Amino acid sequence: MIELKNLSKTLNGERVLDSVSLKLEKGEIFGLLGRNGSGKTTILRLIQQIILPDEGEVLFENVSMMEHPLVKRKVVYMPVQNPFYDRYSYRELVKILKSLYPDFDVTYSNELINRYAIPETKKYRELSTGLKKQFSLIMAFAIRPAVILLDEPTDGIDAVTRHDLLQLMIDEVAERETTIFITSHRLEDIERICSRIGFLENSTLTNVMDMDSLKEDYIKIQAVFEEDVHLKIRERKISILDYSGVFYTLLLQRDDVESKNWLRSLNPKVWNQLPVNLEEVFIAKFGGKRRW
Amino acid sequence: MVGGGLFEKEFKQVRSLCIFLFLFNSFALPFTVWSEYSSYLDFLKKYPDSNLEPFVFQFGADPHLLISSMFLFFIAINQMGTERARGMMDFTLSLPYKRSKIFLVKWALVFGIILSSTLISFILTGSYLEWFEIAVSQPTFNYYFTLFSTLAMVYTLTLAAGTLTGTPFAQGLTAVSAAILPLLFALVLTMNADAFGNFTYEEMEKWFEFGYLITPALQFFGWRIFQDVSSIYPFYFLIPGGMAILFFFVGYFSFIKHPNERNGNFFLWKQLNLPVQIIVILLGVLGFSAVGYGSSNESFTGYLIGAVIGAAIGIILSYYLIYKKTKQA
Repeated sequence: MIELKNLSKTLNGERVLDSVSLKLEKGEIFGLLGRNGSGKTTILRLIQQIILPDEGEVLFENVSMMEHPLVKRKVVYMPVQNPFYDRYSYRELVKILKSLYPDFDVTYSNELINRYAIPETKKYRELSTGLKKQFSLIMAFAIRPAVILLDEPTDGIDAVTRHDLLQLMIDEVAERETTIFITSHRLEDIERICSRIGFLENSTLTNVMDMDSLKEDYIKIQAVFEEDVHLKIRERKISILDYSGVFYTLLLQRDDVESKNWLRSLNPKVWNQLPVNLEEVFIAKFGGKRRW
Repeated sequence: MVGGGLFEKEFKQVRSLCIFLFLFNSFALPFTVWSEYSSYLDFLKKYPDSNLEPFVFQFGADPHLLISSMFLFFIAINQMGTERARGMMDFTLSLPYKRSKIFLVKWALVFGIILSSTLISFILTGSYLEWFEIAVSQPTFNYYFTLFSTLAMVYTLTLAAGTLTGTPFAQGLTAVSAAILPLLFALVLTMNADAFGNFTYEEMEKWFEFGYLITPALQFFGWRIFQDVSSIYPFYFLIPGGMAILFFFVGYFSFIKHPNERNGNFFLWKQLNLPVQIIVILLGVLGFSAVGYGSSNESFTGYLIGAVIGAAIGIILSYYLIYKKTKQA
């Protein structure tokens, strides 16, 4: 459906992305994770050709998006904020978007606007943060894209609105097989809706994996030792999720038998093996450098 | 129509300014001609025995060109600098159009307004002048060609400046600086040549004349010598016209490769920083040294002190303008 081929970008003299490649399939929800400033938004802006890559290209169904921008009728980007919408009401925006995107589905957008009780005559800037996000998402879906790029779509909104937004995305994928590329700091959201995830670190895309295999690949170990073994564990480069005195919560790759045996050799008084969630993997991966 | 939606979107963003420009540029001059000629006739009616000279309409004596240019200046700033500073350029560039088309639509929208409103103004003014057989200071065609090419040049210059710069202020400053740069250079070079060279007054006048003829903002200077240029040189309109074409290509190619990063830099293209800083310093040195030379009874020491002051001012000014980042919204 959409393919990133060796994308590289330097901003203000700093290499933000270095040869990033990724292929997204139809009906897939892909979650991109990374620390603040790691280049997640830059990837989305590069895909949508808002900024141009120094090297590499983006293909939509094997067509270069740079050379044939008409294919962007099928690829829509929803940024964190959309200042262009600010001065328009729903009705005015529908008119503008309809003229820019011939496939814009007014009936569908009316239906969603009514469902979420978004005022049609209020200007976008007058709406609350949650309503703005819902509004933007409805506009993006009404364009009837094949791929939708979402930058922090659930940022700054309450639990109910968040639930509605996520459900809207799931429905869209289920009904129309839209491909969704999402970045979010809300890992529980990513965990709930994404079928595949990737981590952006040190300017490259790493650990692209299925959500299911993430849980299969990692295990969480809760252990209680007789003495403080913190330094020893750090030396072995085992991820410590949490520790307090002799109580440790550790993250291991399931196939890292060597580390597991080594921990066992420390004769823990308590040893519990538990499933992991995405947040724990994220903290182990990115918080690790800070922690040990 | 291909790009029709883009036209509509671009028009909505600058609708008010475009409507004001259209109305003003279409009707201001015909209204002025009617108003002045009516006043003249009223005066003749009131004082039939007065020894009044025949009425001659003076093209260019009103602020019509300046006001229309101000509209165009702000429209161009809105279309580029403000759009980028407010983050709306992201939306524009994310649309399913080539960058070349986005630039062309922005430009063609306003160019069309300049062309149509100037045409309306020409038809109305020309008809009125012909109907009442009113004498004019220069051929109507000639004035309108100059007016049209100057307006097109002012707009294209400001738009092109927006494709090179990162903020609305930088865009405006770059456009204004480029508009007066040839005259400034001609002025400081003539002053320096006067100080050191064995050049005749006629030779220096030729350089100065060349300098001001290629100055984009020439029409806006109030001095008589500049005001009369378009009547002295019947084909003067070709100079702003040629510059409009040049600025169009500068803007067009810059926009296609537009970095579009909202980082608060003066220039989007870092490669421009040093050459522009050198120009600013050079102007500072040449200008202040000539002033120093003149104000110190033509002494070489005065020239050197002026050069040092000019260099210092040039360095400080260029540093704060070019290298100091501004905060983005």
